[in-house]
Amino acid sequence: MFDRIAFIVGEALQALRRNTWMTFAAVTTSATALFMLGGLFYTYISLNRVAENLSTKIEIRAFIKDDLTQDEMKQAGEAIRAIPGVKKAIWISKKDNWEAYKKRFPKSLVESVENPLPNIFIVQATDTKDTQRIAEAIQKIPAIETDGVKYRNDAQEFIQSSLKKLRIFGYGLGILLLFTSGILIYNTIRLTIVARYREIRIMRLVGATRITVMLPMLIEGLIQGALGGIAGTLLVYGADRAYRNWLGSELAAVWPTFPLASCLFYLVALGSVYGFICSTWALRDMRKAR
Amino acid sequence: MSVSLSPLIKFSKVEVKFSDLVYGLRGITLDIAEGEFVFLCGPTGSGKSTILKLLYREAEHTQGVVTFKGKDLGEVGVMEIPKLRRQMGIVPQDFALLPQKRVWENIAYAMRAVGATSRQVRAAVPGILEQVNIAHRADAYPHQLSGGEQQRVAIGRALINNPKLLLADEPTANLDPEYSLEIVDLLVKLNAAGATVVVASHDMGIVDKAQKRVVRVAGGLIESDPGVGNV
Repeated sequence: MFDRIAFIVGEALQALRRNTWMTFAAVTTSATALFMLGGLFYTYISLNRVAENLSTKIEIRAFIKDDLTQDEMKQAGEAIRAIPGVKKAIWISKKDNWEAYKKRFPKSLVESVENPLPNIFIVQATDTKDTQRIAEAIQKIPAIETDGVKYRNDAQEFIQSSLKKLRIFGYGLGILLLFTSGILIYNTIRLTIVARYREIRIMRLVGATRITVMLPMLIEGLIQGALGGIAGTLLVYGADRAYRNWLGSELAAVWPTFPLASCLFYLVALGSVYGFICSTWALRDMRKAR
Repeated sequence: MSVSLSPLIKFSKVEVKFSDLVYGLRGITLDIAEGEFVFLCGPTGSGKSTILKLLYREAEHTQGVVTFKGKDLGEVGVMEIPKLRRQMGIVPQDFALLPQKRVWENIAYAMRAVGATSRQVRAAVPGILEQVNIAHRADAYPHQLSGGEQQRVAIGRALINNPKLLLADEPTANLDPEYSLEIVDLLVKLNAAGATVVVASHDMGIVDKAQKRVVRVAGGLIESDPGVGNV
């Protein structure tokens, strides 16, 4: 049994060595395709997580009209909390707001100025996607100043648009590259059939089973796919490291840890299965041959 | 080698039709007994190679019946072909040796392909090389061998399954006359050792010297045949 495996695997490795450049092309293209698919899938998940984390940091500031009583402000707070998707709404008095503001500026500038700030509610959404809707709902509450709802939505919009682009562009390009690498694996196996014509003929003449004739080439495709998976994982890992360095500041802290082991497992498994399927496709004529 | 009366190979009205106008064989009937040495002679395209190919199922007949050891080869499925071929030794016209492998490796490779272990290969290869008188060139590469020596290796490779039937397609086509005689001598020796040998050849000089049964094929038909056991 060991002898048989050694012979078949040996044949596959020999074919890989013989078609070095074609193998290189197939492996690098599969690696790029798997990098696109795997890497973008990982980025998509990571951005989703970042978006979830950011939801606690994106705050809506609702400015309350000056002439309201404590009861009216309390009612405004309840109205805000009743809006679907609101996680919490904290009331900050005009005085506390001003004290906090004064700390950020030199005393000489703010000492003689009368408190110009209003009472405010700081509102957080459960999901960043709902921020704009919540802000619009708050604006409709009578106790809120005209044009009195402010929030920083640029990060959230960036994340949402990035996720959308990733979905369309990333998966489109990934599938296109996967198709290309499939054709390259197919071509490599077809070249192997030509290069190994004599061996295949001898095997047939002496009565080797079809599995003995075909298995080395199926293994060859599988190895190419697996190597593509390994290279693809390394590319995703490298890209993750580079992106972390580029992020640098607080975003890097919320960026999830790279799951090297599971990424390697999934990309190698995907690459191997894909390589095997492509070589099976390339060998379809041989299955019918005598 | 004594010839058995029961046919090892039987062709009954066998026709091979490639298209409406092109026929490989046009309804031949032929018996070959166990232990016989038969030459299939005729010009190129006469159908002699097709007869061999039908036996190892590289070609398929469109009419009639071909039997080997009593089994109808038309009923042999694609999956059973390797098993059928292990009962025969096939010597192709072009030697089909692996140029990057030494003589003994060419034999070993074929053995490994049919599932022999390294130990079995080590035990069997020297004997096979002796059988075809090429043991002294075991470490040579094919390009270092003469045509006759290369053909000996090809015949040696055909012996790996210890076959009872040896099919050789134009084994002397690419050889000088002296090497051709050498190869025919070798085939005669293997026949004497028990193998049934069927040789397709258009080299009438060699055929005449061998003094064996000669079946003449022309245009897909059998032109003459002395019959089983006759020379």
